[in-house]
Amino acid sequence: MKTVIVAASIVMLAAGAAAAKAPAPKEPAITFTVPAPCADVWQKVYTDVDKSWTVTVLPVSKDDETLPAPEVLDAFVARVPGLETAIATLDALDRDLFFVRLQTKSLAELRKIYPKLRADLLEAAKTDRCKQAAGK
Amino acid sequence: MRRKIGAAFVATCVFLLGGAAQADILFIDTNDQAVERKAIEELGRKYGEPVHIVPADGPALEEVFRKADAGEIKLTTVIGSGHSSGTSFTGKNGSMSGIDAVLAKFPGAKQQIRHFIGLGCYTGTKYASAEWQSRFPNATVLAGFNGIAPSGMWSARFLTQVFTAIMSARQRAGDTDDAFATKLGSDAAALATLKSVLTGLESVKITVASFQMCEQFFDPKGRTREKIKSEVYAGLNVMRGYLNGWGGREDVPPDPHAPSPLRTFYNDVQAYLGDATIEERDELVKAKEQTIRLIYFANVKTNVVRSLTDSEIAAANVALALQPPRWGSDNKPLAFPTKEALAKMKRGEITNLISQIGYNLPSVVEPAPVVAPPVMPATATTTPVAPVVTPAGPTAEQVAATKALYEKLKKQLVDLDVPFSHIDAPPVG
Repeated sequence: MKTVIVAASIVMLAAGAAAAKAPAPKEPAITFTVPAPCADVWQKVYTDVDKSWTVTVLPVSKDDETLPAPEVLDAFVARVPGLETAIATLDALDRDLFFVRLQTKSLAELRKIYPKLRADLLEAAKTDRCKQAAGK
Repeated sequence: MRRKIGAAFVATCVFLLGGAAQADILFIDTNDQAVERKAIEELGRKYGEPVHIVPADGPALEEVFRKADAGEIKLTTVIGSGHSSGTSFTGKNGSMSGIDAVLAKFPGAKQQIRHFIGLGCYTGTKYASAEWQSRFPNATVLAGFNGIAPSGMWSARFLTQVFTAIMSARQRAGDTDDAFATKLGSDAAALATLKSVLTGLESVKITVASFQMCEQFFDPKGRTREKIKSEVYAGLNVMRGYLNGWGGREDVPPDPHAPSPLRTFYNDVQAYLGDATIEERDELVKAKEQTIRLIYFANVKTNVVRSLTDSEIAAANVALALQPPRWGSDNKPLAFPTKEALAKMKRGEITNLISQIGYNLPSVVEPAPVVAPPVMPATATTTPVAPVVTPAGPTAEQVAATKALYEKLKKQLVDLDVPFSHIDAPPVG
């Protein structure tokens, strides 16, 4: 009988030690979403995002696909230094296409469509669209 | 060969290799205008350019384009004369509404045309100019009237004065059409000089003449807000013609990047929107969305066709086969085309077919009661007749499949209510 009690105590002690060594339950992973225009450039706009967070780019929305009003387009072109000159030969239709594509396509796709535009200018233009979509 | 001239200067002119100074003139005289005929004959003699006068559509017109296409003549000037709403001519001699078919038959000929003069009403509106430019893609100078045209003496004087101004400018540029196009496309001062000369012509001053040079529209009378508004709404009608696929606009211009009436309309709307009322703005913003999808309709169609399945089309055709069309198709059976056939159809053919299917959508029909024949006693020569059963119509499920595909195609291919991404070509594969 004594032997059984001792054995049971040993088992209980071992279980207690195992419980003390078990890792603490994980904190839930933080996920963070950014609007579609921010694909590839969100780091430049969302500077306060922790590196451990999982960032997801949302799918293109109807708003992202909407053609710009003339005043919206003009203001955008004026905000990005060097853009007016770079797209001077584009007519109104091609300017609108450029605007919507900035909001709906990745930088790699944009570089393929607009090979003559400087990469840094494309990135600056896309960053502007990201800022607007983010309300920043 | 099509090349843009001038990197810094925005004017766009195109040229063909090997342009001779002398070339032939085609005068399409749909309304029997003796005074204009006399004027062009004199100009032909003065500049040593053979003149071909043809009445309207028909073998004579086709023969001139055939010769140009075959290289037997070099045709660089086309003059249209007659009653006009801008893009065609009619009159006592008939109509030239079939010119697009002739141009399609002899594509080499239309590439040669460098000058077009429209002696008829509205032949020089911004939209008519864009339409003539898409017919004659290498034209350097187009001249016409941005409103009601003069007739008789003033029309003939306009022809003489404008043609002479063009020939003088060509001589200064080097006396070939290529040199002339190159000069206008690369030298802003040369373009401005010709504009100034044309503006000063007596026949231009007293009429509503307007021009397009190197794809730039130019109205010497200036463009007021009202004029721009009227151009925008004229353009809206043009756009709706393409949207519905009728009125000579059964298919959209093939090259989305080339100048076209649709591109002109889009750019005009964008320029006008700032002045538009709220109601106008709503209408025009929707029109812009549709126009951009029309311009890229080939890609939209490819994307839509890719989203269809053969089984979806087959299921949708069951009810159509069971219920013959009630009207609008000459009682010919209607059916949704295969994916391959749909991919090859012009916009006008698609809108027409979808419209006919819409008017003839099948419905579930309650089966008619069994009609028993009159009871006849069987005799040695007769056998009992089986009861006649009226065939049942399509089932609810079959009707639903037809309606679903109809609504999908109407929304996506007719109304162009598709995501913006559809204007880009789908990935290969």
